[in-house]
Amino acid sequence: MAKFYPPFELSEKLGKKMVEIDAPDLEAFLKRGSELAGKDLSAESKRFAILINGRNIRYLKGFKTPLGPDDEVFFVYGSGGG
Amino acid sequence: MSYGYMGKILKIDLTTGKHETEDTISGDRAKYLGGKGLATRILYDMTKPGLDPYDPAMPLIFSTGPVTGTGVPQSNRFVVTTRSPLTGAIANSTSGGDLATKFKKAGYDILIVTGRAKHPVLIEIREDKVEIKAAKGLWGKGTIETQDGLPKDCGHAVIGPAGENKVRFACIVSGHRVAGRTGIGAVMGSKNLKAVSATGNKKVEIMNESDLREFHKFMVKFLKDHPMTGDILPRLGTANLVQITAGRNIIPTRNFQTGHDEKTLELSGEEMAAHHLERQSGCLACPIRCGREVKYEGKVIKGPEFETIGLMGNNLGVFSLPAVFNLSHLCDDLGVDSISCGNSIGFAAELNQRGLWKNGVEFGDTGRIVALMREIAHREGIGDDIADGTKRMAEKHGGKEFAINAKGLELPAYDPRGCWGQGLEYATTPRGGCHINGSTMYLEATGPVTINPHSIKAKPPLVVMQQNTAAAISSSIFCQFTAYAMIPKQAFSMDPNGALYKAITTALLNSGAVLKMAVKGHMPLQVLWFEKYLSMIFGRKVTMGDFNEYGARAFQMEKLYNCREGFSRKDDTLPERMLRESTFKDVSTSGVPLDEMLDDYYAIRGYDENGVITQKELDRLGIRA
Ligand code: SF4
Repeated sequence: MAKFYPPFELSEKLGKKMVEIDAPDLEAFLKRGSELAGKDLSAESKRFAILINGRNIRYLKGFKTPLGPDDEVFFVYGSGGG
Repeated sequence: MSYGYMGKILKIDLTTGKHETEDTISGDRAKYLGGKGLATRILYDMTKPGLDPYDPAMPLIFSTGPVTGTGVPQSNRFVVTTRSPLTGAIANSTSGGDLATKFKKAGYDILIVTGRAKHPVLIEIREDKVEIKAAKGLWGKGTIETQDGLPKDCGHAVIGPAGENKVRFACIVSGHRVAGRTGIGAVMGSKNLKAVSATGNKKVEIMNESDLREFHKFMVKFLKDHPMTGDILPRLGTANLVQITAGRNIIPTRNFQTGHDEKTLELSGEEMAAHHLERQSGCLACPIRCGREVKYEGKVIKGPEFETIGLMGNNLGVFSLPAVFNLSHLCDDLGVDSISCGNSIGFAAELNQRGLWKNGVEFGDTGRIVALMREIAHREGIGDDIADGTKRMAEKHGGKEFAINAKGLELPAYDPRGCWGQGLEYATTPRGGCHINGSTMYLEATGPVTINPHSIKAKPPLVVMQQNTAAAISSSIFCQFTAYAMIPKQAFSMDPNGALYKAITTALLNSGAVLKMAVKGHMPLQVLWFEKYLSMIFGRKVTMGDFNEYGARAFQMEKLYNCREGFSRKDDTLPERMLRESTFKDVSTSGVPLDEMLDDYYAIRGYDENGVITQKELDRLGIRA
């Protein structure tokens, strides 16, 4: 099962910093994740960069990127500082 | 009169107890603007090659810039420059806090301290009244108690026990802010100097003062309206980066063995804001207020910056925010740089893990780490070795390939294996492993528009541009965080998976040739607020080209200092772990392809193939060797 680290608002709502989702690729993963979150994650992804194992899906196969066990999916926004 | 400057440098010799002044702008000094550019010029001129950082003759230079004390937002800053006892290279570190403006209002631009006092002392400057006083009752005290014991009407810069004991990564603290990097606090300690305090009522003369006040109002509104400086930084502080760097797989974890942990998000800025934040805090004249004050064991204390969370938390396997609050507080009070300290403890833990040095330090053992902090600051037990930093520890105990430093300066909390341009920046920045001298990771990993972090395309000219801009900012001196508002706010609402975003990032990656020309071209326009502010202060037009040239000159001045001390290509490198071990599942290369970028970088910079600055480049910028 792939691991999903949702943005903070969602993890607070879910009561977990990480949820495991069984899906063959990102598209299916987002669909399943939307059911769990009660929120359309595909729409949310317009506000966030989606990263699989630290790499932006732009450099992978986009929403068709296959997911395997232990793969990790993060949503991150653009920021800075430090 | 030189607008923007007080016109005087104060020189204090602690051996003789005498002081004198000289003109700030004399000879070719105006070309270096102020801040770190001018201080490096002065350091170079005052020292002979090979002078030990702890030799009494080594100058410790506190400098302000032309915008300090003018009320410009984010300008209440000073920089401390000397030779680093940690790296042997140029040392500099900037800080906000309460000293910069008060020192300048005392009538000076720069303070140069040389010599060594017989007994611990402090310097108190009240305009023309300059006194060296015994640091009675303060030596041995933490930075918080020390500042509490100093005159309330002054601004201060102080060291803690770590500086007194010459911990090689000791810092200097001013109010709640810290000039953390390169061990400048140890040089201050070597002079038996506990504190510098200053106050005054003089005015910084500004040529177009009414224009500046008007522009100031515009800028405050602009910064407040910008998503980065008006929302993310005030709301979450620099800790906003925890979620991003974890997602990007670049937050140091157990001495950079991996790029994040399942528990990393326990340390996020959102977590801190929701459950621990008491209030925001900030430097004087700053509308952003990125600092945090947090609740900890019934008290309100300063909250940690992202770097401290990354290195003293995640990198040490400490995944509890309250534990990091305590460690951050200890770093400031004992007077150590949290970046180098977190790396050094992490390195000791991995040496222990691998049986190379049985020292009992383990990742995640918060109680032991807290005790160790005091041992480091007082150079007791194993703390004595750790106080020398990762480079020297590796020479003694082995493990050089995972001693995480560049030129001996420990790396900040952005693992370059996930931002190759940042890796080039770490390797080539004169003071060593530092993210503030360019912040290329912003364009590769953390910003709103990011180019492929695992490509070397366009990275060398991009790094040069970033480094030059940062050097100009640190010579003026503005806070580097202002630069985050340079990216238009529309970028923050762009769909990262959309066509426009793709077009912009592709164009950027293919812009290498244009960027190379831009680095040396002279842009006659005023684009950013930096040039506009300087123009209003000086009363003459400063263009973007001028600003970049100030930056290039400041950067190359640092480079020249290093070359004189024998630094060359062999030193422009990264630890083996960063070059050969991948933390990514499916990136075709195994680490940062540094060599592939370095030749191109040297050609753009005007260095020979051995990484030494050429006479032609010095002539181009009018730098005296
Ligand atoms: S942005 Fe933060 S660090 Fe910079 S001047 Fe403002 S409060 Fe200080």
